[in-house]
Amino acid sequence: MKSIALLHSTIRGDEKLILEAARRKDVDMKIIDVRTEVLDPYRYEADFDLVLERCISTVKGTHATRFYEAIGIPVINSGTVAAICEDKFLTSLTLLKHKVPTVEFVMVFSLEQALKAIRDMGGFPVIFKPSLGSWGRLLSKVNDIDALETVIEHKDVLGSPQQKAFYIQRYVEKPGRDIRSFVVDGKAICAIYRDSPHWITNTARGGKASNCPITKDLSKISRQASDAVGGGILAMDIFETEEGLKINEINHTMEFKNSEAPTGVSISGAIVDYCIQTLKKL
Amino acid sequence: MQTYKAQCPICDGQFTLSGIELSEIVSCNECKSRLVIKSIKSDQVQLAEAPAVEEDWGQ
Repeated sequence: MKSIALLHSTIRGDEKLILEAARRKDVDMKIIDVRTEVLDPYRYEADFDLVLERCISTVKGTHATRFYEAIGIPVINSGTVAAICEDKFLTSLTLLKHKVPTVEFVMVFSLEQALKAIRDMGGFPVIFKPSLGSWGRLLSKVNDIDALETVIEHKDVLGSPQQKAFYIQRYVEKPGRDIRSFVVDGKAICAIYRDSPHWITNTARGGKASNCPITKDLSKISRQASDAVGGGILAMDIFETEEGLKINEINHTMEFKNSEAPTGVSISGAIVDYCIQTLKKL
Repeated sequence: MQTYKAQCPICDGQFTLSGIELSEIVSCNECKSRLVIKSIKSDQVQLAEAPAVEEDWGQ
């Protein structure tokens, strides 16, 4: 009988919900801690047929995904999807290539380039983000040239090489909230508003979650973005702008434990169902 | 639901846990330290100090 492995690097509330959903559906889901695995392609013996990658550590999850795919075990989400979604610059480029509405962005490597790019984008404020990062860490809203010089000097002096690549987004004036849609196999199954008086709306930073109805536009942009990055199980951060909805970021190992109650949707159940469907196709 | 006895490795506070999974992060009832479940045996769990949040954590 084919089985699924839940790969983790710590068990969060999200993983507990997935495990509970699997038990409810009588699905055999093995629990594998990536920190105890030796990813040895010569000797690894897998007693499962599909991996659900749920590592809290992006680096560990990415390496493990590459490993399992290389030895012939499919992973949800695939390494291709993970590679695009974990890198904000690559996500933006991919969305642009597929004509999915997204927030204007640019990549630069110096103060001079940054000044030119910001002028071309229409001026301050802009958002600096690490291309790899989450939970709203190290985001900077840069309001003027003084702040720009400071942020870039700090990154140049104190940052790792990755921090010296400056991914800049146009600042989007939001109605005190953004939207996170939960998308499984291209379908937006539910969404939340994340309300916050702060310009960073992550629930990890105190944003409050409430139900957001799935409109035709939300469903459409969610499917377009899912198709662009390669599908699977995704959470999309979406801005409401004067020009319509725009994708901000896409998460490939989404956190959802605070979203089941406000939406009334079993996101964990949908994740398990998608795994079962994928397993049946193997 | 089964309950497990636990002892905080930081403050030695004793408390019970239920509905837990190996590697889950929990909080000490007394000192509120972040702890991780290292092992589950019979009605006892072994706890350790949880790993610090790293730069690549979360989505």
